[in-house]
Amino acid sequence: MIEESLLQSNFLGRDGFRWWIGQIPPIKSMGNQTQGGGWGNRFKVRIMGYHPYNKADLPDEDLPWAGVLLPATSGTGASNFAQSVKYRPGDVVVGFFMDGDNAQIPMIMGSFGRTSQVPQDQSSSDYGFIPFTGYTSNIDVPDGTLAPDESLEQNANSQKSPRTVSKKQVDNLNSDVTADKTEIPASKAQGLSEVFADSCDDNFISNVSSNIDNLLLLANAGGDILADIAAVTKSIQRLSNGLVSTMTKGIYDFFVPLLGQALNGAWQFFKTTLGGGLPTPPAVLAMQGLIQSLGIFEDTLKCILPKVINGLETTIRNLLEDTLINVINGGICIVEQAAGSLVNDIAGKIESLLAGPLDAISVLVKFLGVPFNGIKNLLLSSQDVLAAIGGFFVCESEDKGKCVGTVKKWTIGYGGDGEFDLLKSYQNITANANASSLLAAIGVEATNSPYTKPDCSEPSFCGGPTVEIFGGDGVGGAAKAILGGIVNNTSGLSDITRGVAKTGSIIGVQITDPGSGYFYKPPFIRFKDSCGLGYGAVGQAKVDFNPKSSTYGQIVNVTMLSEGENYPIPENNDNGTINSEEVTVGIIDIDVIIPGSGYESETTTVTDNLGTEYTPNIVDGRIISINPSDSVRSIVKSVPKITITSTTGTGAFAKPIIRELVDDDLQGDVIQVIDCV
Amino acid sequence: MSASKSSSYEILTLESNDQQRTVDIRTGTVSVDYYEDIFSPTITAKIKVANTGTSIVSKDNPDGPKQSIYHGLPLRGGERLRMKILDRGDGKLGLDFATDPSKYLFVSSITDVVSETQRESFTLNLVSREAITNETTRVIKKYNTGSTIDNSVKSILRDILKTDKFSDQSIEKAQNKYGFVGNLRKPFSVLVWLAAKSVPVSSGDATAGFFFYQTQDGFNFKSIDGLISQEPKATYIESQVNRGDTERNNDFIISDYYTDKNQNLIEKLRLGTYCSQRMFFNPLDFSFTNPSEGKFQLDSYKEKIKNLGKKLELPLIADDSNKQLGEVPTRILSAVVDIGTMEKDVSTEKNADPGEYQAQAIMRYNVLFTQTISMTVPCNTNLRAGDTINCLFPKISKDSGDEFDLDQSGLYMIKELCHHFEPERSFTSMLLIRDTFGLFKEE
Repeated sequence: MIEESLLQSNFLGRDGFRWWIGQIPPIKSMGNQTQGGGWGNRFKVRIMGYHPYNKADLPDEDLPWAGVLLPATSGTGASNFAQSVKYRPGDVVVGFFMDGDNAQIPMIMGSFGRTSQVPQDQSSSDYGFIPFTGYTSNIDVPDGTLAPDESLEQNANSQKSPRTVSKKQVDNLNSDVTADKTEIPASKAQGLSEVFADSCDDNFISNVSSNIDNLLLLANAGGDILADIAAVTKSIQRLSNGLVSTMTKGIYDFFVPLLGQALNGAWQFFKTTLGGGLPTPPAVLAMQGLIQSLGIFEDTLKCILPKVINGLETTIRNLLEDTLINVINGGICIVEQAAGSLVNDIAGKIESLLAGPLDAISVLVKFLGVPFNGIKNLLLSSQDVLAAIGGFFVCESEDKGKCVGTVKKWTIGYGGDGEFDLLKSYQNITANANASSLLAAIGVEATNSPYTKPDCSEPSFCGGPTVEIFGGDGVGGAAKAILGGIVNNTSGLSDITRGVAKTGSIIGVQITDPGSGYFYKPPFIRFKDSCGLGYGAVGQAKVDFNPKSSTYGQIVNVTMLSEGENYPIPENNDNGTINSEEVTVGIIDIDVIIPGSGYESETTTVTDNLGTEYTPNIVDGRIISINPSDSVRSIVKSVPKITITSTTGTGAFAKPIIRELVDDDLQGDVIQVIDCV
Repeated sequence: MSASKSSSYEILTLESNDQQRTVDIRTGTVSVDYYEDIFSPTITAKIKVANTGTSIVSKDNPDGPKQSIYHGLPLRGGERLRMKILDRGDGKLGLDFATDPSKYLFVSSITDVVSETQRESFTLNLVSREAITNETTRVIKKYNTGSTIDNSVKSILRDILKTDKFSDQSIEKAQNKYGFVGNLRKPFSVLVWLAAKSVPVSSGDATAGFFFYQTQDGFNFKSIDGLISQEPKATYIESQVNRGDTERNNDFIISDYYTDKNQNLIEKLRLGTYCSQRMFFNPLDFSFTNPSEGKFQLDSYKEKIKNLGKKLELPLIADDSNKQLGEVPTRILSAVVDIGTMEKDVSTEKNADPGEYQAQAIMRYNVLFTQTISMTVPCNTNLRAGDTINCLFPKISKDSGDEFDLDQSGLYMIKELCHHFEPERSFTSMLLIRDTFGLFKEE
């Protein structure tokens, strides 16, 4: 009894190391400590064997505060070296009492990592020592950029990193019947597209395309689709400002050069019909009335913009709803149909608003000297009018240089999209607008949808990945994807792979057309398969910038920074891809991505995991190139890992460049020829 | 009167566990030993019983032959015992655990069982009801930091041990507040643990240390200072013979005594009894106790504390030194200061600063046990553990004119006592403790 107190050493650490296991109670019991008003790193803790199960006997609020020991790597806050403690309510922690058997001053040493078996229920208000979720009102269950997961264990499904792929591709992965359906995109914005401002072209098509693509993605991702439609409606309405202004300007541009001649014709007409060839008062009066009507026409034209734009909201919303109902995959052909419908509607509205004023100057119209079949026909029949929307031809003619290589649209997480063929798109829009107009003119309601071909973006089959080369300051360029790391589809994977028999990674790129004119800016590389199954492959074009080289300005190689996965392997080796299981491919060069520093030739070795040795070329401690030690190329079917070992240098990083091997590559250099005859 | 009087077992009745059957064991009782100890939170007793084996009818066969107590009652532990023993000494109240049911004793164990054909014998080990309750309850709740320790003690006695065997006088006030959580410990463990942390109201910061114990009268939570300050219960004179004259009352002679311990200086120094160096760490502001502030020396407080004997005087460290032993730290104490651990919300207040009680309690407890004497006196049931008595020992030297040894004689505290009763005799044996030598004089 009291002897126990008297016999204590009262010396820290000598009165017993009393360790314990306890549970951190719900956050509401910790008051201001967890609301930003606490001191130290402290949590209340319900300790097994020391504190009761029943909260009626000892409420959470009455539990003692336990300090937290910090690991050596967290710092203490001194000189700004600090890492936050990350314990959450419900965590099971291990600690000891700083006052030994007195057991009144607990200290937390560490914690048990939660397993996937730990229930994630809400905490019990009646009992402690029941597992519960660590999510609180302060840290809510993530709903997008982080997979809700409360485990931390040696399991492949524990705290999986989000995929840097779109929601659509994540849904594909999660559709695997054998998967735990825990894949999640790294960002809600992943896969959404954005159009950057540029001074070259009007971005109407790019922007409408981006809006429609994003709407389709957001619809697939769930959420508040009505709010999404409203937002996209507003966005397209704003974009239409420029379109309507340009159309209005087009009307001016059509009429103004012809007005002098038309007014003169009308004056002659009035004199002839009302004055017998003389400027009689009735003729003058009629002319004055005509000029007054012309003023009204001009005034109406000036005010047409807000009236048209305000009337577009319903049109655009209907268009978007039709998009969601009828369209599965977005794409430029879809945008062209949507834009055509929109242009047609705008032209119709302008025509309707100008109908009265135009009728008042019908006499004038007769003497324009050119055929005029109405405002709408004027706007839709002329390619020039549409092309003039944003100075498209300006880029083509007067200021072509600055627009070359400009990427209009970027997809977040993927990079730049290929350039739009604006001329072709405008032609298609016009065609679609005229088709809509024609159907309306003859009173045929062929369909309520603006989409005559809503499935135009749907692939008919899942082909192999293609290599898109775009941007940069040059023109041209073509390549084939080299596929490796091939895996056979299994029954469980069929949902992911849509019945594709084999999938693989893009381990290299075979240049088939090196392009030209890339003198200071290399092009972008994008890999795309028709079904959008593959993801993650990232390539970097290598251009020869040496003016003295015979390949100056050409694409010489593509370094694969990331090979990605799940790209469909064509069953028959079509000409679009190279299958490494059927064609011999190998390492033809090593691309030094980061040269590092401090390297010495004597102490630096470079090898790959196939056992091949390479010779580093080191200048001033930096590895500027790496070459195979012998001329026989390593044949590969997946991307080997390049290992740089050095006792002095650090930081260098290199990737192999893989290409189809030709006979010379396989035979090696001819060192000496001996004629035995 | 004889110094070792016979006992009169007025009531010694054992109840079966279902309280439906009783047996009177007075005639079979060989001896009764009743114990109190200031280190023990419960009183205890031992009764040796011997009987013929035909004491009680069988529970299962009431019409059958009588059986022994052990088998017939049966004795399995937990039975209640009503006990009333008269003390034939003058003015002695005797032991009464029979009048009030709350004071009945309980059989905790039965030992030394000998069962033969016509006779049986066994020893009943008895405790108070609270000792049984102590094993079946736990201190669970948190006691607030705003509560003084004596209030927490009362709360535990009342709410957990469910006893009213205490009073405001028996639970001395403590000046220090202490918040703690029961940690599912047994009530007695917590009460004794709290005793070592308590500072009496009257002592300022000079001393600390309480005892929690039970006597015939109930539970006591008393400071060492308080116990020392009480009036002596009796004065005993050492004598080897009973005196038939009227000069002295034979009830108050010391029948026998021997000194168990008379100072153990090395042990005292090792325990830091006289001087210690304290170092506390404050986790709020990372402060460590300054060495000068952390030094605790008895010398600084000896004028403020009470002793059973003279003021404590310590020898010099060495012949050529002017420092006493009490000026040099002989023990290092270290601890973490409790900052707001027991508060509901964020607090930067200290909870029970160990600087206010830790070294003081160590000093007080250890000094108190400087001398220990075992003593036997005629049975005196008026004595209680924790009482002080005056003891007078004759001087051995014939040269002095004093009748008593002035160093050995003086006030002693009863650390533990045993009242022993047999049919033919009774006596009280005690273990006495004392902090300093000589007769106490109010300075």
